[in-house]
Amino acid sequence: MGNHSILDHNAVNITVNDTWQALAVAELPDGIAAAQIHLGELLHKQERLDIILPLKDVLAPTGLLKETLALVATRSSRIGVWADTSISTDQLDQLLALTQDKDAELLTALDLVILYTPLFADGRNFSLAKHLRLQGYQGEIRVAGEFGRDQIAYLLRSGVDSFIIANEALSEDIQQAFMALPTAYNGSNASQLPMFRSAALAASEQPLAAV
Amino acid sequence: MYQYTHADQAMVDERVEQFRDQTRRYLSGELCEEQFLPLRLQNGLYIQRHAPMLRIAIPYGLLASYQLRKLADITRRYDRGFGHFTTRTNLQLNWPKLEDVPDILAELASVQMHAIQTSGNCIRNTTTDPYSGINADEIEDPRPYCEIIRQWSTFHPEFAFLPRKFKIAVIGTQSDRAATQVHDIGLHVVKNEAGEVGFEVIVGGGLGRTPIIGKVIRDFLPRQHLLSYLDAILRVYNLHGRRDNKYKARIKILVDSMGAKDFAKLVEAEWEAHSKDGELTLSEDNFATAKSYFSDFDYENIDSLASQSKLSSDLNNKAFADWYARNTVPHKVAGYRGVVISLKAGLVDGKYVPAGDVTAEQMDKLADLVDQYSFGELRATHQQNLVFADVKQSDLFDLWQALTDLDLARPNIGTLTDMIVCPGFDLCSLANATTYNIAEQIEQHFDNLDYLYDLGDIQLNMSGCMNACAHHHVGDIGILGVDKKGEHWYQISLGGSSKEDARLGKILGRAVSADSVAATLQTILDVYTQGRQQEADHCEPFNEFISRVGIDPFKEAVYG
Repeated sequence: MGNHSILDHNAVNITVNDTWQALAVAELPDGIAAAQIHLGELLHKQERLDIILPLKDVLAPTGLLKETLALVATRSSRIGVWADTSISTDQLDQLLALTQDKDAELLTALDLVILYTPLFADGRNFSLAKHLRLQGYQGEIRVAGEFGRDQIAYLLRSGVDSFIIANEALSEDIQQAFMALPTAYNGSNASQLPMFRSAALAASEQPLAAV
Repeated sequence: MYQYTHADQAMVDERVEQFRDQTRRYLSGELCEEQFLPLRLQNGLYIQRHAPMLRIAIPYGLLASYQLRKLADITRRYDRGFGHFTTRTNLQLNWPKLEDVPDILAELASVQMHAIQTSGNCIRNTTTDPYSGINADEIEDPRPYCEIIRQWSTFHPEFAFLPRKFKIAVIGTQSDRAATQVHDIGLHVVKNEAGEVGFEVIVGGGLGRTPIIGKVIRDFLPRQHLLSYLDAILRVYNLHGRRDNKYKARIKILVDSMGAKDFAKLVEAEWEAHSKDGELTLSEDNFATAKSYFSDFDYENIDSLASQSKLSSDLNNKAFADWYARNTVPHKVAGYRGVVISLKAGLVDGKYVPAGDVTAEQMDKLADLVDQYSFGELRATHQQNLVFADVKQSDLFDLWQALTDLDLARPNIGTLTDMIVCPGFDLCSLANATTYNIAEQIEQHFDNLDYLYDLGDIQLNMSGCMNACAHHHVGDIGILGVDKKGEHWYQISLGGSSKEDARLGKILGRAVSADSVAATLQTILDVYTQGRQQEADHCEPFNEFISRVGIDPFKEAVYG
């Protein structure tokens, strides 16, 4: 896991300050967090940790986790989840419902959702992030996996906050990727289309010109 | 036409710099092939059989004379002095160098043009009726809506890595000259009983390996919801479209597999939950702004008596009369006509000129002519021709003469030789068979103009592979090139249409050999000419004849 870095929305490398640890499970992809922790280890910890769980296990816990999920919650200061792009919006909605459910012990607050994309061309992460935002989720959205630097600007505009990038892909000019196509809009506001932006500007300037 | 604002200009300039950097990183090995591929495609760049191919966007087919001059200049400096118009009304350069492409894009940006999203799994160039704005029976000019869609889809952050490509077409008349029903989304401008303007929304049409006619998912979408509804359709598609098999990834497969009703339910639910009445809602001011770019030209008040009398005398020239009858269309303003410029020159000095090809010299001359005769704007058509939409009737004769000198006045619009033809195996790396040699054979065989006129309207579409770039499924006659053990064979289908009566052609039977395509067509056309119903002044057209008799008489004649 030490071969990845975490960049925030300004391309600042926040790896050293990042306290998130992924719960080690069999299908945990590489590059979900800077560190991972085994369930047994976690349950013996005295201090509370920031733990990232598999989203599917949170919705439908199985095995040992089923019995210890509540305990995990008591050992955690913050909870995050990760899912790959095959996750459905219904499952994301179930997750968000859990955070509203006062009887659910686990997710009193959900601070982080990590979307793992297995392929560069798999663009579901864009719509999944957008969906979370449209549903009112205000926590952090982080992307991991095989997305590329040339997608970063679009991911930011789709609602993503931070990025886990393999160190080998971390070039000095990576910051440029965060500022690509600065004039382009975010896809969600008609008044930001170039001709309407310009018309609004002209209209706001007219009274001034009259004075 | 639309003029770039500062924001549009900044966007295309920023894109040029972005792609320049991506190309540099690719050539230096920093950017891998897997990641460069979708990036170059979204800038219109393919790697073809012999060289890269660059597809330049012509939004809804509208082009200004100064842009055409720039295209001529680019083809001279960076290519081999010609360009190729496609069924998406774009222009393809077949021989650019990869390392020159950023410079070409910079040249395009200097005249408000680009190659953005002309390929790749994103929202492509929106197309429309080439006679938009001049149709007398138009509900509304669709171009302002096309421009709104262009701006909404350009650099849309969420929809740049869809399961597959995505094509939208908009029309403003009942007649469909933009093949809207074989698009991922077809939008028909309609009015409801209260007289409000909106859209009939058709989703899930497409050709390729699995041709499907689109289905109506909404009879009337009030126009203020145009973008919010498109947003909902695209989000549903991006999340639910198949990604495991590229041949099943188009929205047509999703709509077909779940049924149009259930698909519509998903879209409506997404729309109600997230988009409807939100920030994508368009205001009346927005529509007024968009329309202001497409207002009528300053048409002259024409003395129709004098104009008509000049035309009557000009029509004494048989060649001009033929051209007038086939290559001009009515205009909503008296004294004006729309002119279709045939890019199907056929055989020039014995050599076949590929459908849709224009030389740099022709582009320059056309730019001068459109300045002189048609307000400096021309249109590219779905049929791979060009249109001067606003020509004074009294200028037609002079324009015709000038076009004749350029080999651009062939009076064959709508006839058998007005073929849609993809470049095929000669240039395209996807193709299975050549097309240009077959088109040449057809031109040689059907060289009698009076015979073509007697046959009447026939749309012949020929594709070099099942990807169907030349829309063979929806031609009255479709020809599909196939490869059988290294040999090229040609499968013929009959009875397709891309118009308001859109339907897929039926396959005649086993493919015919390359040297017998024209002869087979002759057999087919003989069945028609011998069997069609003729009354005093009405002759049953080819498409109606096929509808009436079916495909069996043709099968019998060809294979019997």
